[in-house]
Parts: sequence; C-alpha cells; structure tokens
Amino acid sequence: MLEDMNRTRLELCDALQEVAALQEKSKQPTLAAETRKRAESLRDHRFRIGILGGMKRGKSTLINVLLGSANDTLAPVSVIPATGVITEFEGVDAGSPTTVEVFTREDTSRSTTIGLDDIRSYATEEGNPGNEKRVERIRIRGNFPLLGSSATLVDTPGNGSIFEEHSLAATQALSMCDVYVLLVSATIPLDRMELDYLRQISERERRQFVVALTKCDELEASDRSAVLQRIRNECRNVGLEAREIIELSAKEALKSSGRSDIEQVHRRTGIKRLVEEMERIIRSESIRQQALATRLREAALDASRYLDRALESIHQDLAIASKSVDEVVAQRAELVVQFKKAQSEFASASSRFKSKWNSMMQQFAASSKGLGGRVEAEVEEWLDAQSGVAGSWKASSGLRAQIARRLGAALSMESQRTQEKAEKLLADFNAEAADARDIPMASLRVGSDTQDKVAGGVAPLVAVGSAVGAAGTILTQIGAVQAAALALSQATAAAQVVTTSQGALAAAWAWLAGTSATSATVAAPAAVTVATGALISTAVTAVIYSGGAVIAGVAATKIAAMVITSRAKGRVAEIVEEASEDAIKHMVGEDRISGSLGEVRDRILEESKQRFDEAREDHEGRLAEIEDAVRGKDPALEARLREREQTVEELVGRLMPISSRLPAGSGGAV
Amino acid sequence: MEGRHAPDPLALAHVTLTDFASRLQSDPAHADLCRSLESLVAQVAQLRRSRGVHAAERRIGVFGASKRGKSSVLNTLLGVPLLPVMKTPMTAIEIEVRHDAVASPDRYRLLDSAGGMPEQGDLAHASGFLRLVASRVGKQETEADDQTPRGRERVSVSSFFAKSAVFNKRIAGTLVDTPGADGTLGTNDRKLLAEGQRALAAMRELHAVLFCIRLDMLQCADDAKLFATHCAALRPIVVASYADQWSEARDPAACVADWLRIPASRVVCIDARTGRGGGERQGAAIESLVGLIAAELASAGRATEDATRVLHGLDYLLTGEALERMRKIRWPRTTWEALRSSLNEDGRAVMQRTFERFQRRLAR
Repeated sequence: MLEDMNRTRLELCDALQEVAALQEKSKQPTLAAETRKRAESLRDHRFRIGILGGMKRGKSTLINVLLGSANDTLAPVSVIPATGVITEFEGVDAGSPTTVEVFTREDTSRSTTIGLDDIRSYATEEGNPGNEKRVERIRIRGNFPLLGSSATLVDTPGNGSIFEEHSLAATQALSMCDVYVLLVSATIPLDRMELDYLRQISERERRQFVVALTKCDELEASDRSAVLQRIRNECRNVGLEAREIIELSAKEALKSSGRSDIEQVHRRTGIKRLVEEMERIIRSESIRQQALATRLREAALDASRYLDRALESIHQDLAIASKSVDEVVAQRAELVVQFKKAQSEFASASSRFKSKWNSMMQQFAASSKGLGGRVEAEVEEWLDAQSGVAGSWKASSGLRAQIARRLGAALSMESQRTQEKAEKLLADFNAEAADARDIPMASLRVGSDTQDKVAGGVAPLVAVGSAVGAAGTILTQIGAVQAAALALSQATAAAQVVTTSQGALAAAWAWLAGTSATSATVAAPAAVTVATGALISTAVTAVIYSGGAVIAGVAATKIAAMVITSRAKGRVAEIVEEASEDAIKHMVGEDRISGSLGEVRDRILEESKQRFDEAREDHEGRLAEIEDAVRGKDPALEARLREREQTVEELVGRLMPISSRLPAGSGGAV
Repeated sequence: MEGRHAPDPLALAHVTLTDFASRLQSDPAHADLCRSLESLVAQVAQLRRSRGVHAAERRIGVFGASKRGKSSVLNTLLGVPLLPVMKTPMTAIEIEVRHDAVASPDRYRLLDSAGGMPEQGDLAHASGFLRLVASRVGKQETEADDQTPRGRERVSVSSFFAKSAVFNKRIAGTLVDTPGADGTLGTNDRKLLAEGQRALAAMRELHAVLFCIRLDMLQCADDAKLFATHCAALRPIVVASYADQWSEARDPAACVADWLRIPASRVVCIDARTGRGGGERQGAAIESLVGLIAAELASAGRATEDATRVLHGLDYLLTGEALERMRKIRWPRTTWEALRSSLNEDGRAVMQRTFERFQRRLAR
C-alpha cells in the first residue's frame, strides 16, 4: 500500500515539475517557484511532526529531552535556547555525521552548511535580531533515535513571543506538518494564540494532534481537573477531540539527564508517555499513509486547479485570436471613439473642478481676512459691556476665555465650511472622472496572457479615482482646523504675556510657526516658507495655521493696544503693530492662500490627467497588439496557443488517474 | 513659552491625534495605524477625564492578559482573598471593590448588575458568591448563539477591609478587577472577545492603571501588544507577579523596564500567586506599590506629566508594524513642536527617540 503510494508520489512529483515548467512559460515565476517547492518537498517526503506552542512553554527543553534522552549527542540540540526561525530535526541513519544547514528566504532551494557552534548566531534573537539574516529555516540532520530515518521534528518559533517574525514563521510551519504536538503550559491553560492554533488545526484536513501539558509540577492537585477540563472543552468547542492529554514536567526530566535512574524520572515526569505516544505515531504505517495521502491529495488538487485555470485562459486567448480581422478592427475603432469621448468628459470635469475650486479659494481668503476684524469687534463689544478696559484686564482669565472661545468658534466654522466645500468638490470631480473612465473594456474578452496587460492598463484609470480620493484625504487636513482653533486659543492665552516687553506676538508667532525665533518679523516669513515650500498636505495645514495665526495676531494686537493705552508702553505697541501689518501682508494676502490651495488643485488635476493618459496609451497599445496578431503579423500565435492547450490537456490527462488512485481522506485525532 | 503659559498638552494632543486618525480613516491601507491612533486618542481622552475627579471617586484597577495574576494583585492589596483566583481564567466581568467605612469588618454588601439581587453577608462567603457570578456569565457567553454584544456588566462589593493596604488615609477610591484583555488583540473565540471588550471598557474608566504581567512570561508578545495598544500613554504602574519564580541574576524590575521601555521605578515585582502573606520582600513590594498608586493619583493633571505620557504612547505606536504604513503621512510639525515645548526632560527624550526612530524607518 505504502509502496503504491510512494510510486504515485513520484509520478505526482514529475507532473508537478511539468506544471511548474508550464507556469514558467506562461511568465508566472512566483507560481512556478511555489509549485517546484511543492514538488521538491513531495520527492523528499518525510513524516513531519510539528511542535506547536507559545513562548516559555518549555518547548526547547522538551525537544532537548526528546532528541537527546537516549544518546549522548545532546550538545547540538542544547545550543538552541530560543528559536527565532523554523528548526527542523531530521533523523538519519546511525553513523551519519550531524550536519547543520541554513536556508534563507532569498533562495529556499539552496542551503549553507554551518558548524554546530554557529547555530546560535542564526537561530536566536541575539545572534540574528529581527531575522536580519533572512533565515527561513535551519535543518539539523543527525541520528535521533526517536525519529528513525524518515521522520522530521519541526520546532516552530515561539508563537506569541514579542517578535512578530516568529509568529509568522510558526503559522507557515503549521501548514507543513502531518501531526502536531500542542504544548500547553499548565500555568496558562490555552491562551489566545493556543486557541487560535486549535482552530487552525481544526480547519485542516490533517487534524491529528497530541496535547502535551507542560509544567505540571507547578500545578496543585486541586487545579488539575479544572485545567484538563478546560482543555477538553476548548478542543470540543472547535470540533476537535483531545483524547489524551499527556502531563509533563520536562524541566525535572532535563535536570536529571545522565542520571542512572533516568528511566524512572522519565516515567514519573510523563516524558516516557509522550515518547511512547510519539513513537507509536512515527512507527504507525496507517498514520503515515494517511498523512502522505493527504499531502498527495492537496498537491494534486492544487495542480489540477491551476491547470483548469490555464486551460480556461488559453481558450479565451484563442477566442480572441480566432476573431476575424474586421471584428477586431471595428472593436478597436469603437474603443478609440469611446476613449475620445471619455477624454473630453474628463477634460470638462477637470475644468469645472478647477473653477469651483478657485471660487472656494477666494471665498476662504476673503472670509478669513474678515475674521480677525469680526472677532476683534466681538471682543471689543464684550469689553465695553464690562466695567472698562482696566477692570476687565484685571479679570484677565475672563478675557482670555472670551477671546479663546470666540476665535476658536469663528475659525473653526470658517474652515469647516471650506473643508466641506473642498470635500464636496472632490467628490463631484471623482464621480465625474469615474463616469468618464467607465469605458466598456469588458467588451473585449481577454485571456490570461492579455489579462495582465489589460488589467495593468485599467489600473491607472482606477487609480485616478484613488488619487483623487487620496487628495480628498489630504484635504481633510483642513480638519486640522480644530487643532488650529485650539492652538489659537492657546496662542491668545499666550498673548496675555504682552505686559512683558518681550512681545506677545513674537512669542505667539514662534509658537505657532514652530520656530524658536523670538522676533515676529523673523517668525512670520518662516511660517510662509512652510506654506509654500512644503508638500501639499503640509501646505493646506499651513494655510489654515497662517490664517489662524494672523487672526490671533490681530486679536493680540487689539488686546495689546488696549493694555498699552492704559499703561503707555510705546515700544511694545510698535512691535505689535508692525508685526501684525507684516503678517497680514504675508499671510492673508490673496497670493499666499491661493498659492497654497492652488498648488493642491494643480497637483490633483495634473495627477489625474497623467493617469488618464497612461491608461489610454496602455490600452491602445494592447489593442494594436491584438490587431497585429489578427492581421497575421504573428501567425504563430494561434499555433502557440494550440500547442499550450495540448500540453495542459496532456498534463490533466496524467493527473486524473493519479488523483483517482489516492485513498479518500479522513481526519480525527491520532 | 514654558511654564505658566504652556499650552495644555492633552488638549493639543487630543485634537492633533484626532485629526491624524480622521485623515487616515478613508485609506484602508492605514487601517491598523488608524486603530492605534484611535486607541491613543481614547487614552488621551481618559487622561483628560481624570482631571478634577474627586478623591473618593477615583478608580484604581488592574489590566492585562488572562492569567497574569490580576485578581491576586488586588487580593494582596485588599488583605483578604476576596476575588476568586484559579488556574483557569476566572474573572469574566468587571468587579468593583469599595471601602465601606461604616461596615462591620466581617460583612460585605454586594450589588450585581449582571442580573442578581443585592446581597449582603459574611465576608468569608463573598469569594464564593463572586465565583458563582463569574461562572454564570461564562456559561451565558458560551451558550449564547447571537453575536449581539452584551451591555456592561459589573459587580460591586463593599466592606470595611480592615487589613487593606490601600483603603486607609492615603488612598480613597474604588479598586477594580477586570477580565483578561487579550481578546482585544483579535481572536475567533467569542468568550475571549467579550471579556476583552469588557476589560477595555472598564480600564477606560480607571484613574490609576496597574498593568499586570508575569515574570515567568517575560517578553510575551500579547503583553507588549496590550501595553502598547491600550495603555502605554497612561503610563500604568507595571505589576510583575511570580517574583518568587525569578531565578536570573539581573534585577527583574530592570528587565521589565527594559522590555516595556519604562522607568524601572514604575515596576513592582511581587509574589502575587497566593495573594496573601509573604515575607519581608513581599511587604516592601506592597508598600512600594501603594506608594506608586498614591503618587499616580496625586500627579494626575500635571501638564508636563501629561505631555510625557502622550508621547510615550506615541513612541509605542511608532515601534509597531504600523510604522511601515506611515510613509505617506506628513506630520504637522508645528503642533508637535508646540507639544514639545510643554515637555519636561524625560518627555523630550522620548520625543527625540520617537522622531529618530521614525526617520530611521523612513530612510530604510
């Protein structure tokens, strides 16, 4: 039986290699590499036992005991303190030397042989932090009596450890194993990751697993039944049956290695029971048959799925290739017309967007200019209602609150309005651009070879949408208005420092512009540079900040003036006035705001146009290609396709009998 | 701009982060980062809410993954084994423990909003009652076949707690026990998920957070993730239990501090397994924990402290995978500069690190 299956296995390997060759011919190198890997692993078939378990579950300790207990070559194993990569222990015949090979992710088919002492620098987080050496797995071949000569123990990186790399590798390893030993710590019976492991196992066809409960020596007798019950319940919840839970105290077992009563220790610590169970699994022909059958079925299924898809796409290509010249030419002409129409629609959408955006910019500029005055007036009114300037200055906290509140409200309303408007404009533009690019491309049926290219052609068109969408995201930065409004209230509070001769405005500028400059005239141009020089998103934010800063400045000027009239500090008044004049000129000046918002606008337009053009070129190029083929410039196309069709059909013909010979699958616990 | 007139860092951080998150929202590629930012915003909001809360209203609670000795830590602080502790996950819902100054030392009162009746009785029986409540909720959760989320369920217990290390002159308030929060990190297990949500909701109302880990589980990813995603900005006090299991030469608190990147002074190592007794070392640990809690409650609302916390949270956020996806995001520098100006030295160091890390990752 097993011999038959092994023959089938080799046949399947050959078939898979040919599928890979086909995939290479169809320019699908990634897929081909995967298929080849699969073929290799089938050819080199070994029974694989995966040790699954989170960190600190005593996994490495257990492996040391399992592999080293019965011979003296414990050393190679014990140098693996923390596994950061998948480590495979392959049992080989006695007498063969122990070898260590490292496989990297760049080239998984080739390995580097290293010395036993070097394992640490590849397999541990210390020696290989974040897996910077890109190690995929380490294979240690040696004479491990438990494994015999045809089984492999796979040590998965501690799932749930802080290094995400480990967890990813563990999940990969899960799919490569035939039987699992799930290590659960008695002190943390089934955590989040272990529950997910159980679920993953339950979803696989090979569902054999053994639960090994470690650290049982730390469990009080009263807790034991609760722990066992919980594991059974959780297994049942995902539809698995934990028939036996082997209770272990591996630490004690390891400590006693080399002792004369090791046998007794192993019996007491549960190790013997686990070894027996694993031996039973490893030596059991029926389990191995089942495992092999499952793997063969999976491989055959994947191969036939791929061949089905390939056949389908060849037929689609053939359909195009066999169309008449006139048909294709007509189709091409129609598409060209549609493109032209789309182009003009796109152009008019762009110009509508542009003009609306411009008017939005003007409105924003106008209203933010007026904002300072309005708030000023409001505050003044409020001040008048108080018992004179001096009185309210004393109640400075009240004044501060008033200004902060009013400024915040006014600015946030204004910018909110602008933001909403901008978002609406973008949404409209987006919708119109979508209409324009909605060309019935599907009218041209395309096959696998062509699919990629056409998909590549359509992608930029779709990207117009996302580019515009991204710009929309950027625009919500106008939502930074909240931050600005808040910053303003803070700045206004800061402006209260005006009684010192440092100058509040200078400080407010420095604060808002994020510079350490102490003079307003230095700080203001610095903020302008931020607005013009930075990238779009920063620009929009900067515009808002600039506007806000000016309003803060104007208000601060007013406060300052009020305070100054009562205290006659001429120099402060001068600085303040000069600064605010300067600021208004630089910031609210129409050039500045429209400059920045205009940049955003142009960038959106430019980008969408570029993408549209790219898409058109790609698409037209593709049409020309098909047309050329049909016109007979490539008379070999149809023949080539027929030839490939034949290869695929031949492969399907070979796979069918192989699949039918495989025994039916069955799951369940060991 | 430092000193008296420094801007309120929490308000600043609140709007800036909200803005960040809202900008990211529309882009599915940033979903993870967006979630982290939202969590940070929630933490900032929590810090803001904490201000001006009356001493007696303060909530001091534990937070952490399942089986990290959360209930044991509280039992240690209470001086009685009130909260049920087991090897299998035990606490299913939030349990509030209050000091009742007029109660008789051996009596308890219990209010069970999860559906039971108000009870009172002998304090020695309280643990058993809580156990019952927990098993009832657990059963409902497993049997429930609808996906509708349950409302907040909580149980309140009050007693005099004569031996309590917290309910004395130094600390007034409520102790809060929470279920394991690891379900919030993503799971298919419905019970774990429900407990995680309850834990998070309860934690968001705390004014002092005791983040619980185990010294024999140092470097466990779930702990680090919970810390980073939900409470790093709150700068919780880290309680590392199983100190009696520590066998390495290095100071365990220093190891924890290195790992979670927090000052070692915020780490307390206790033998919380049994929840009571303990030798001199345990006494000193409890004393230092109580001191930290008192200092924590006293420092709430200090601007420099708050700003440092926010940046600490951000620092954490940036070390995650999410950073890879931040390439396209621009930083409103002005706001960060403003935030920086309100920091103390410690906070500036965090910010410096944050930016350096960000730049390094971008350069790669």
